[in-house]
Amino acid sequence: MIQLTDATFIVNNEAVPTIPNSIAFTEGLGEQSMKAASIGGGAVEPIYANDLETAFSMSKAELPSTPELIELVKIWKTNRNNNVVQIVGETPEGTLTRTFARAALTSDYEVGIGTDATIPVEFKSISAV
Amino acid sequence: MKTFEFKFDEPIEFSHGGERVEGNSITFYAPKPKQRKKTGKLKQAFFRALPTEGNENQSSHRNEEVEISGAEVLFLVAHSKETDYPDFIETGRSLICDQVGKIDDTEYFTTFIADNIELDVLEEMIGEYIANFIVRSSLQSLTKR
Repeated sequence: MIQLTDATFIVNNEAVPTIPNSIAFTEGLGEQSMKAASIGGGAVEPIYANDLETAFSMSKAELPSTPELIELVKIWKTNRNNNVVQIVGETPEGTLTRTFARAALTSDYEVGIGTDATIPVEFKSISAV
Repeated sequence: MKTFEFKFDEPIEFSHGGERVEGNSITFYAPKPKQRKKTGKLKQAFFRALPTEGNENQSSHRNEEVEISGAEVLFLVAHSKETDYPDFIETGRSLICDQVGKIDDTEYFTTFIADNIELDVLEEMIGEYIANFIVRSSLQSLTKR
Protein backbone atom coordinates (compact mmCIF):
# COMPACT_ATOMS: atom_id res chain seq x y z
CA MET A 1 0.00 0.00 0.00
CA ILE A 2 1.20 3.49 -0.85
CA GLN A 3 0.43 6.55 1.27
CA LEU A 4 -1.10 9.52 -0.56
CA THR A 5 1.45 12.30 0.01
CA ASP A 6 0.63 14.76 -2.74
CA ALA A 7 -2.53 16.22 -4.25
CA THR A 8 -3.63 19.04 -6.51
CA PHE A 9 -5.68 21.81 -4.92
CA ILE A 10 -8.01 23.30 -7.53
CA VAL A 11 -10.12 26.38 -6.92
CA ASN A 12 -12.58 27.57 -9.58
CA ASN A 13 -10.96 25.46 -12.34
CA GLU A 14 -7.40 26.64 -11.54
CA ALA A 15 -4.75 24.38 -10.01
CA VAL A 16 -3.17 26.37 -7.17
CA PRO A 17 0.43 25.94 -5.94
CA THR A 18 0.46 24.79 -2.33
CA ILE A 19 3.04 24.13 0.40
CA PRO A 20 3.82 20.38 0.54
CA ASN A 21 1.91 18.44 3.23
CA SER A 22 -0.52 21.31 3.84
CA ILE A 23 -3.68 20.00 2.14
CA ALA A 24 -6.41 18.53 4.33
CA PHE A 25 -10.18 18.13 4.25
CA THR A 26 -13.13 16.70 6.06
CA GLU A 27 -15.80 14.66 4.30
CA GLY A 28 -18.62 16.73 5.78
CA LEU A 29 -20.41 13.77 7.25
CA GLY A 30 -20.90 15.72 10.46
CA GLU A 31 -20.85 14.61 14.08
CA GLN A 32 -23.10 12.01 15.58
CA SER A 33 -24.02 11.43 19.17
CA MET A 34 -25.25 8.48 21.17
CA LYS A 35 -27.38 8.89 24.27
CA ALA A 36 -28.92 6.36 26.55
CA ALA A 37 -32.67 6.29 27.03
CA SER A 38 -33.94 4.43 30.05
CA ILE A 39 -36.50 1.74 29.35
CA GLY A 40 -36.88 0.73 33.00
CA GLY A 41 -35.50 -2.14 34.98
CA GLY A 42 -32.01 -0.72 34.67
CA ALA A 43 -31.91 -1.28 30.91
CA VAL A 44 -31.10 1.44 28.38
CA GLU A 45 -31.84 1.93 24.73
CA PRO A 46 -29.16 3.71 22.66
CA ILE A 47 -30.46 6.79 20.86
CA TYR A 48 -28.39 7.76 17.85
CA ALA A 49 -28.56 11.33 16.58
CA ASN A 50 -27.05 13.01 13.57
CA ASP A 51 -25.99 16.61 14.26
CA LEU A 52 -26.82 18.28 10.95
CA GLU A 53 -25.34 21.56 12.17
CA THR A 54 -21.90 20.03 11.74
CA ALA A 55 -22.53 18.42 8.32
CA PHE A 56 -20.27 20.76 6.38
CA SER A 57 -16.97 20.03 4.71
CA MET A 58 -13.71 21.79 5.36
CA SER A 59 -10.91 21.95 2.82
CA LYS A 60 -7.65 23.70 3.56
CA ALA A 61 -4.17 24.31 2.27
CA GLU A 62 -1.26 26.68 2.73
CA LEU A 63 -0.17 28.75 -0.23
CA PRO A 64 3.14 30.51 -0.84
CA SER A 65 2.93 34.26 -0.17
CA THR A 66 3.28 35.61 -3.69
CA PRO A 67 1.56 38.81 -4.89
CA GLU A 68 -0.40 36.80 -7.49
CA LEU A 69 -1.72 34.32 -4.91
CA ILE A 70 -2.49 37.07 -2.39
CA GLU A 71 -4.73 38.69 -5.04
CA LEU A 72 -6.28 35.33 -5.95
CA VAL A 73 -7.20 34.54 -2.34
CA LYS A 74 -8.80 37.98 -2.04
CA ILE A 75 -10.98 37.14 -5.06
CA TRP A 76 -12.03 33.83 -3.45
CA LYS A 77 -12.96 35.72 -0.29
CA THR A 78 -15.07 38.28 -2.16
CA ASN A 79 -16.76 35.45 -4.12
CA ARG A 80 -18.53 34.61 -0.83
CA ASN A 81 -19.78 31.01 -1.21
CA ASN A 82 -19.55 30.95 -5.00
CA ASN A 83 -16.32 28.93 -5.10
CA VAL A 84 -15.72 25.30 -5.96
CA VAL A 85 -12.70 23.52 -4.46
CA GLN A 86 -11.44 20.21 -5.81
CA ILE A 87 -8.73 17.99 -4.38
CA VAL A 88 -7.25 15.42 -6.71
CA GLY A 89 -4.47 13.04 -5.72
CA GLU A 90 -3.21 9.77 -7.05
CA THR A 91 -0.83 6.95 -6.30
CA PRO A 92 -0.03 4.00 -8.57
CA GLU A 93 -2.77 2.18 -6.67
CA GLY A 94 -5.64 4.61 -6.95
CA THR A 95 -7.04 8.11 -7.26
CA LEU A 96 -8.68 10.44 -4.76
CA THR A 97 -11.12 13.05 -6.06
CA ARG A 98 -13.25 15.27 -3.86
CA THR A 99 -15.36 18.24 -4.92
CA PHE A 100 -16.50 20.89 -2.47
CA ALA A 101 -19.26 23.07 -3.92
CA ARG A 102 -20.58 26.34 -2.49
CA ALA A 103 -17.25 26.91 -0.79
CA ALA A 104 -16.49 30.07 1.20
CA LEU A 105 -13.47 31.40 3.05
CA THR A 106 -15.26 32.16 6.28
CA SER A 107 -12.34 33.15 8.49
CA ASP A 108 -10.34 36.35 8.20
CA TYR A 109 -7.31 34.64 6.73
CA GLU A 110 -3.80 35.81 7.51
CA VAL A 111 -1.24 36.70 4.84
CA GLY A 112 2.29 36.02 6.00
CA ILE A 113 5.22 38.06 4.70
CA GLY A 114 8.69 36.56 4.94
CA THR A 115 11.00 33.90 3.60
CA ASP A 116 8.97 30.96 4.83
CA ALA A 117 5.67 32.79 5.17
CA THR A 118 2.46 31.29 3.83
CA ILE A 119 -1.23 32.05 3.40
CA PRO A 120 -3.28 29.38 5.20
CA VAL A 121 -6.74 29.16 3.61
CA GLU A 122 -9.66 27.17 4.96
CA PHE A 123 -12.89 26.78 3.00
CA LYS A 124 -16.22 25.68 4.40
CA SER A 125 -18.62 24.12 1.91
CA ILE A 126 -21.43 21.65 1.49
CA SER A 127 -20.42 18.03 2.03
CA ALA A 128 -17.78 16.69 -0.32
CA VAL A 129 -18.73 14.49 -3.23
CA MET B 1 -12.72 41.60 -31.48
CA LYS B 2 -12.31 38.47 -33.61
CA THR B 3 -13.56 35.28 -31.99
CA PHE B 4 -14.50 31.78 -32.96
CA GLU B 5 -16.65 29.23 -31.22
CA PHE B 6 -15.66 25.62 -30.61
CA LYS B 7 -18.65 23.41 -29.90
CA PHE B 8 -18.39 20.14 -27.99
CA ASP B 9 -20.20 17.01 -29.13
CA GLU B 10 -20.54 16.08 -25.45
CA PRO B 11 -20.77 18.73 -22.70
CA ILE B 12 -17.74 19.25 -20.45
CA GLU B 13 -17.84 19.83 -16.68
CA PHE B 14 -16.47 22.97 -15.09
CA SER B 15 -16.95 25.09 -11.96
CA HIS B 16 -19.10 28.19 -12.13
CA GLY B 17 -20.87 30.19 -9.44
CA GLY B 18 -19.99 27.71 -6.71
CA GLU B 19 -21.36 24.67 -8.56
CA ARG B 20 -20.16 22.07 -11.03
CA VAL B 21 -22.00 22.74 -14.29
CA GLU B 22 -21.86 21.58 -17.91
CA GLY B 23 -20.58 23.66 -20.79
CA ASN B 24 -21.33 23.20 -24.48
CA SER B 25 -18.88 25.49 -26.22
CA ILE B 26 -15.81 27.68 -25.83
CA THR B 27 -15.48 31.14 -27.32
CA PHE B 28 -11.86 31.72 -28.25
CA TYR B 29 -10.20 35.12 -28.51
CA ALA B 30 -7.07 36.13 -30.42
CA PRO B 31 -3.76 35.82 -28.53
CA LYS B 32 -2.37 38.86 -26.74
CA PRO B 33 1.13 40.34 -27.20
CA LYS B 34 2.26 38.78 -23.89
CA GLN B 35 1.73 35.37 -25.55
CA ARG B 36 4.11 36.17 -28.42
CA LYS B 37 6.62 33.47 -27.51
CA LYS B 38 4.05 30.67 -27.65
CA THR B 39 2.42 31.98 -30.83
CA GLY B 40 5.85 32.44 -32.41
CA LYS B 41 6.81 28.84 -31.65
CA LEU B 42 3.57 27.54 -33.15
CA LYS B 43 3.81 29.73 -36.24
CA GLN B 44 7.42 28.71 -36.84
CA ALA B 45 6.59 25.02 -36.45
CA PHE B 46 3.72 25.32 -38.92
CA PHE B 47 5.75 27.13 -41.58
CA ARG B 48 8.61 24.66 -41.19
CA ALA B 49 6.09 21.89 -41.78
CA LEU B 50 4.72 23.44 -44.99
CA PRO B 51 5.83 21.50 -48.08
CA THR B 52 8.43 23.42 -50.11
CA GLU B 53 7.99 21.49 -53.38
CA GLY B 54 5.68 23.07 -55.94
CA ASN B 55 6.43 26.64 -54.89
CA GLU B 56 6.65 27.59 -58.57
CA ASN B 57 2.86 27.18 -58.78
CA GLN B 58 2.20 29.57 -55.91
CA SER B 59 1.93 32.57 -58.23
CA SER B 60 -1.29 31.16 -59.69
CA HIS B 61 -2.87 31.25 -56.20
CA ARG B 62 -2.09 34.90 -55.52
CA ASN B 63 -4.92 36.98 -54.13
CA GLU B 64 -7.01 33.87 -53.52
CA GLU B 65 -8.66 33.43 -50.12
CA VAL B 66 -6.64 30.91 -48.10
CA GLU B 67 -8.65 28.49 -46.03
CA ILE B 68 -6.95 26.00 -43.76
CA SER B 69 -8.63 23.84 -41.17
CA GLY B 70 -7.37 22.78 -37.75
CA ALA B 71 -7.17 19.16 -38.92
CA GLU B 72 -4.94 20.23 -41.84
CA VAL B 73 -2.64 22.16 -39.51
CA LEU B 74 -2.25 19.12 -37.25
CA PHE B 75 -1.75 16.80 -40.22
CA LEU B 76 1.02 18.94 -41.70
CA VAL B 77 2.91 19.33 -38.42
CA ALA B 78 2.51 15.68 -37.40
CA HIS B 79 3.89 14.49 -40.76
CA SER B 80 6.82 16.89 -40.90
CA LYS B 81 10.37 15.85 -40.09
CA GLU B 82 11.19 19.48 -39.37
CA THR B 83 8.91 19.82 -36.36
CA ASP B 84 8.39 18.21 -32.96
CA TYR B 85 4.69 17.31 -32.81
CA PRO B 86 4.50 16.60 -29.02
CA ASP B 87 6.18 19.95 -28.33
CA PHE B 88 3.75 21.64 -30.77
CA ILE B 89 0.74 20.15 -28.93
CA GLU B 90 2.19 21.07 -25.53
CA THR B 91 2.74 24.69 -26.59
CA GLY B 92 -0.73 24.79 -28.15
CA ARG B 93 -2.31 23.47 -24.96
CA SER B 94 -0.44 26.03 -22.89
CA LEU B 95 -1.65 28.83 -25.19
CA ILE B 96 -5.34 27.90 -25.33
CA CYS B 97 -5.37 27.56 -21.53
CA ASP B 98 -3.82 31.03 -21.04
CA GLN B 99 -7.01 33.11 -20.70
CA VAL B 100 -7.90 33.10 -24.41
CA GLY B 101 -11.02 30.92 -24.20
CA LYS B 102 -14.20 31.15 -22.15
CA ILE B 103 -16.60 28.26 -21.62
CA ASP B 104 -20.15 29.35 -22.46
CA ASP B 105 -18.84 32.92 -22.09
CA THR B 106 -18.44 32.48 -18.32
CA GLU B 107 -15.22 30.90 -17.04
CA TYR B 108 -11.77 30.68 -18.61
CA PHE B 109 -10.72 27.37 -20.14
CA THR B 110 -7.84 26.22 -17.90
CA THR B 111 -5.20 23.50 -17.92
CA PHE B 112 -7.14 21.57 -15.28
CA ILE B 113 -10.21 21.46 -17.53
CA ALA B 114 -8.06 20.67 -20.57
CA ASP B 115 -6.51 17.70 -18.77
CA ASN B 116 -9.95 16.27 -18.09
CA ILE B 117 -11.32 16.19 -21.62
CA GLU B 118 -10.59 13.62 -24.33
CA LEU B 119 -7.24 13.99 -26.05
CA ASP B 120 -8.80 13.94 -29.54
CA VAL B 121 -11.04 16.86 -28.60
CA LEU B 122 -8.14 18.81 -27.09
CA GLU B 123 -6.00 18.30 -30.21
CA GLU B 124 -8.90 19.35 -32.45
CA MET B 125 -9.31 22.50 -30.35
CA ILE B 126 -5.59 23.31 -30.56
CA GLY B 127 -5.63 22.79 -34.35
CA GLU B 128 -8.64 25.07 -34.81
CA TYR B 129 -7.17 27.78 -32.61
CA ILE B 130 -3.89 27.77 -34.52
CA ALA B 131 -5.70 27.75 -37.89
CA ASN B 132 -7.98 30.63 -36.89
CA PHE B 133 -5.63 32.93 -35.05
CA ILE B 134 -2.05 32.09 -35.90
CA VAL B 135 -1.50 30.80 -39.42
CA ARG B 136 -4.48 31.94 -41.51
CA SER B 137 -3.62 35.63 -41.52
CA SER B 138 0.04 34.88 -42.24
CA LEU B 139 -0.90 32.63 -45.17
CA GLN B 140 -3.26 35.24 -46.54
CA SER B 141 -0.65 37.97 -46.42
CA LEU B 142 1.83 35.65 -48.16
CA THR B 143 -0.53 34.89 -51.03
CA LYS B 144 -1.22 38.59 -51.58
CA ARG B 145 2.46 39.24 -52.35
